[in-house]
Amino acid sequence: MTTDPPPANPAPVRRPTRLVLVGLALVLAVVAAACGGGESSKDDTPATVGPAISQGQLPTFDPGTTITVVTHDSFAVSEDVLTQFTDATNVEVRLVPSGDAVAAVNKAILTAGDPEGDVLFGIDENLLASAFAADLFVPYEARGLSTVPEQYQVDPEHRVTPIDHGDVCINYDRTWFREKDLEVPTSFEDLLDPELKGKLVVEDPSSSTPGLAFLLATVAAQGGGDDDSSSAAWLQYWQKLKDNGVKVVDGWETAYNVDFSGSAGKGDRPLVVSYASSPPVEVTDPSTPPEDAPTGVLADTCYRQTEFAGILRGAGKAEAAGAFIEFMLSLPFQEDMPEQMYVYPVNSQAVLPEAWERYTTPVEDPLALPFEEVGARREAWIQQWAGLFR
Amino acid sequence: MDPEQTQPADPTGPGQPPGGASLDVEGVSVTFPDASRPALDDVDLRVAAGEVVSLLGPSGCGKTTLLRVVAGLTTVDRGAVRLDGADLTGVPSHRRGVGLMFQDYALFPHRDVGGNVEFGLRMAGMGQKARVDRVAEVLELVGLPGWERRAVGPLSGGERQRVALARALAPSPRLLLLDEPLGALDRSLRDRLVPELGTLFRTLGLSVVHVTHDQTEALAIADRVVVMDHGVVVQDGPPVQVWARPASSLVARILGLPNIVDGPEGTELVRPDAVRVRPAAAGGNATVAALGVEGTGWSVTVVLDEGGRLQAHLPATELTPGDRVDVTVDPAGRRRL
Amino acid sequence: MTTAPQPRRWWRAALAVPPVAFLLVFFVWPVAAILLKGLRPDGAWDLSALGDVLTDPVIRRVAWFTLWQAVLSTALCVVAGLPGAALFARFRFAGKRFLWAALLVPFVLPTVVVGVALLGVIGPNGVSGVDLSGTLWAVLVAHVFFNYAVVVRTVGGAWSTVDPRLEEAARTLGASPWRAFREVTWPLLRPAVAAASSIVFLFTFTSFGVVLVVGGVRQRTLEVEIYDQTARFLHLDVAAALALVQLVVVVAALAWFGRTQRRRAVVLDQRPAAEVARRPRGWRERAFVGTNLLFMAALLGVPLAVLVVRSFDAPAGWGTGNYQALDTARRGSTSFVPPVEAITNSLLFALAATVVAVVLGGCAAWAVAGSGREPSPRWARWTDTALMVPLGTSAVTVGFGMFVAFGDPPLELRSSVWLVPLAHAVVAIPFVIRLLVPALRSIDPQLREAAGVLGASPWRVWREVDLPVVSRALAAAAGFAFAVSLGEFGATVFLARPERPTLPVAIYRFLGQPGPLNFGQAMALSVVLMALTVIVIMAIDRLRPIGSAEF
Repeated sequence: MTTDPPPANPAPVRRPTRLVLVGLALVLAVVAAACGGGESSKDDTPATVGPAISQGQLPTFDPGTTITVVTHDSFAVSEDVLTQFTDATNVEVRLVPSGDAVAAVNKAILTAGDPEGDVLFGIDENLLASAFAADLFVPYEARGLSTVPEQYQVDPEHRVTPIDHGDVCINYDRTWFREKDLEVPTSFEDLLDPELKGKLVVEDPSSSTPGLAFLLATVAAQGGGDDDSSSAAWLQYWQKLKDNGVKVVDGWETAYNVDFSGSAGKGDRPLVVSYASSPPVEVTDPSTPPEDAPTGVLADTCYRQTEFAGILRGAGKAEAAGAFIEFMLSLPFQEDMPEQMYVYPVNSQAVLPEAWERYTTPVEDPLALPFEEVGARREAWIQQWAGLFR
Repeated sequence: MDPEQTQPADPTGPGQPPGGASLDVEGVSVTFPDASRPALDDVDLRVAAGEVVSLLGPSGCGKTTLLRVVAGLTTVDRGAVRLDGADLTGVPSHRRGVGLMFQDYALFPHRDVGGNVEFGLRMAGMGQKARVDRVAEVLELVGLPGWERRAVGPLSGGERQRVALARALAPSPRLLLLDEPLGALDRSLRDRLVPELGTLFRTLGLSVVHVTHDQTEALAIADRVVVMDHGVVVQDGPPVQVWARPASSLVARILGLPNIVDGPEGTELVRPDAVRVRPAAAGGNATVAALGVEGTGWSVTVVLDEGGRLQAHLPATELTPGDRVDVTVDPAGRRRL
Repeated sequence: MTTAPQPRRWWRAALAVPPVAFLLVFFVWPVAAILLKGLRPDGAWDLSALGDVLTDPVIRRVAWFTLWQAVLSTALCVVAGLPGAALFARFRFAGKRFLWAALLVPFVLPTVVVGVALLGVIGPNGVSGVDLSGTLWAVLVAHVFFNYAVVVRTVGGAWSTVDPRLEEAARTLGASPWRAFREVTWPLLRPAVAAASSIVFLFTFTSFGVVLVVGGVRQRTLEVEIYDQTARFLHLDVAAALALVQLVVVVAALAWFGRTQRRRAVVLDQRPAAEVARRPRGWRERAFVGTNLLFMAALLGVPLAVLVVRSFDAPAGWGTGNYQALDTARRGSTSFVPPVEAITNSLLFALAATVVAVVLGGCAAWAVAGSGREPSPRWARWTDTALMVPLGTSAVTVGFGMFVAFGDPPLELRSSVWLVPLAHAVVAIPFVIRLLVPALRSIDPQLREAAGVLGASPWRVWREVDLPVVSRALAAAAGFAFAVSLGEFGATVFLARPERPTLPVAIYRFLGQPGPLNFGQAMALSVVLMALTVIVIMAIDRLRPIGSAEF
């Protein structure tokens, strides 16, 4: 039984890397678990909380106090500004982004009485009704409200405090209109112009906050909000929009970044539902500032969008929470907001950034509906709208 | 109570002195679910230490099942298996210390030749150096020296068989079970390997149970032949005795004996060298059906006019198939079964 | 065939306990919690919503649409993926390893980014010139884009261990190449194809984000309805009813798939993959390889290239401006996520999730697979189906369910960092099972027996035979689990992890703000995520147990 000499084996034997990697993974996983979960103390909260500011100063608390602020995912503030609060009060702030505004509020409603945090920031008018119905908040009348114009103080019971506003308006692509030598539309009726057929993109009101705001704007402007039939005035307007080729997409990200011609996506529609604060961000080269921002806003289509903050019932740190709300109304925070969150301060004494002064015109009289009406009719309106578009 | 704990430690393994164990299969019966009849029916088998036993029988007679029972891969309904006197009932196969070579080899595709052969040694905890030496030794034994790093996939049938044999031998089992070990090989290779296997077994002093359906294999290497049919042992004895005196026409057929003639008084065997075939003088009483080579002579198969076939062994012939012949039988060559 | 003694059986059952327990705690309990909140508010059962839902014509239409678009998408994915699977199984070509890993990239990208990528090709002003946005076609394309990897990696992995000589034998017996494939290879591949199809069906049936982004408002699936009802309107009763409807369909589909797979998997003559793959010979094979690569380039390469190109389009001009800005812009803001930190967090979560998923999924697979020769016992089949359900359950239901269930002791995990990888594992475990079971059932039982006779205890048999032979499937499973976690699949979109932002979270933050700089950074970070995926998956693909050949 003799045979030929063996050829080289094409399959080499591997090192035991698998065990090493598994071990490494376990070590890393253990290290990753260093951060623990949140604590929640459940003291009794008083029915209301008195003003936390006395003589314009923020009160101090015991070192080591922490409050948890539940926000939507777009919340942002400068670290320096936040540190000012901690320096003044000894209170550490823990931020918990909790989805978009609707999701954050709904999660808070789901946990009413045993909340995730002490303060909820980011609830807008359209969500107030359901939040109040669930008794989410402890009323708090902030001292800083003296600097806030009346139009933002929608809740006489001070369950929520207005912090910022960012009106939802139709943005247009200046360059496109210049090239096509067309007049920029100014009103809702102008949007029905056949020359603008297929040039408008809006968001689905059931899944998008600006989309809902635009829907409410049409209800406010065209009327017929209490008409359940398909011949409601505002619904007729939407029929005409549909005939004029309006495109409905799921959310602002898609509308603005894909379909809008005036932004990075370089889409094919020069009109989009966005915010009054969007144009300054489109100005990209600060060294040679242009006359106008590349995009503009149709002021007559703007709908008021105010964001509020409130102290969550059952949280336990009501005093410190109140102090934080005062801080949010104070100038450092208010003047920090535009650059961080692209919203306008409600504090009338706040100074806007230069780019904003140059490239935006404040919307004097935006459309608005009473929040109770919105709370009661919102779903019905969305259903009616859906009947037309789905 | 865990049955594994109550058995004595297995009696075989590397490091043990060579020399086979004795095997005692007593009254074993196995019936598979959905089967109409038992695969093994009250089977007894004894293998003395160092003895080579061939299990012979047609397909489906239960020989593979018997091997699996001894290896612990199939549980018995009744009966016992004893190795060197120790009862193996309940002992899982990985603790029996029995070597098994599968009919289709079951080589591990993800390991090379060396990796396959050293497998049993690794399981027994042998050190690296000792394993390397032993693997080389065994590969030398089966005629594949230096083949350790070869991949298993591209090997030919004969090469795989030898690797499988090497793998089974490496842990020095005291009982070796071979399931049709030469089945996949061609005639000439088989003829070469059969005596080598015989020598191998005798040198190592192993007890071997060797399953085959090839009579020449059985005759060549076995100390004893056990004939099985339909789950039952039908004859058991030294090869020469079994061939000389088959117990029944059934056994004769299994043994591949030619010229089984069913006469009025019973079955008779006719030795091929007692069959006289001459070219037909006139008419003849048979026709040549086939010719074959038998050692240095010829085997001539004739079809009798009165019916039946006979095989004759002739030292030389000029007959071709189709020739008419006269056939007579020397009465001395007839034997009643 | 009666085989070795009983201890084997109860070990298998015992193996099934950890994964089942895990899913009971981290899946069944949260889902039950949110469903009960909807159907049993204030302690009393109120099933009226169920009745409303089942009779509502709009819901009926949506449910029907969801079902048939899922079936259509699955069929398309399989048809598109099979040639790709053949390519990887049979041929060697330049960049094969890279491509094999890169297939998983669509999986890990956040849905809006996928939308941007796809719409950059088939959207307004897209590269292809055709605007399919808002149509069903866009949804189908998106589904194939996402799930191509599932089909190719699953079926391709199984295919690569099939002996090509079987087809060759058929060819010598007179079968045309197509016939040989149909008669010989296809039956051997069926279990893997069924496994891949079941996963793709579950994904496309519960498809949510991508449907909305590319399909617009007309393409509404059940999951979208559930999301609206849960997250936006808080109509938990309606949401619960819809989730139940979805669950029923999913379980029925899984039972059907299970039946196809149960047709006894044929024991394969396993060949190492390296032996099977070879360079293409002849113009026919070259054309096949070429067309396939072209198809992959068009389907996957072009949309992803759109992202890469956009990432280099910085406000200051073409270049790496966006990448540099990742580390500098918005520093000092609480929403700033240092890219290194995002990468680290994503990797840590993914590692943890993969380990949990592979260990638990592996236990489950070994428990339910049995061997190719015997049909698996009934409990194993039911466990198998049950363990797949998380893949087909509404992500928003699970997410909100976790939010509700884990708010209080004993498991107050709601804001714990551990919940995220565990939630990923819930989705990844079915993947692992689905990939391992066909591989396990195709192991020649004689190999296990041979190892046993040679002295290997059952544990050693597992380590020496089972593990190396299924190592390919195991690596594929680990790769999927990792991708699922990197891409923040399923429920974790709804879970907060304030201190540990991951790459998808960071990307979403950029996309949520206007301006070309924010958009550009989102693109840049997406490219980082893509590169990270490819590197890590390629590393996982190379892992092999000690001593085994490239199998």
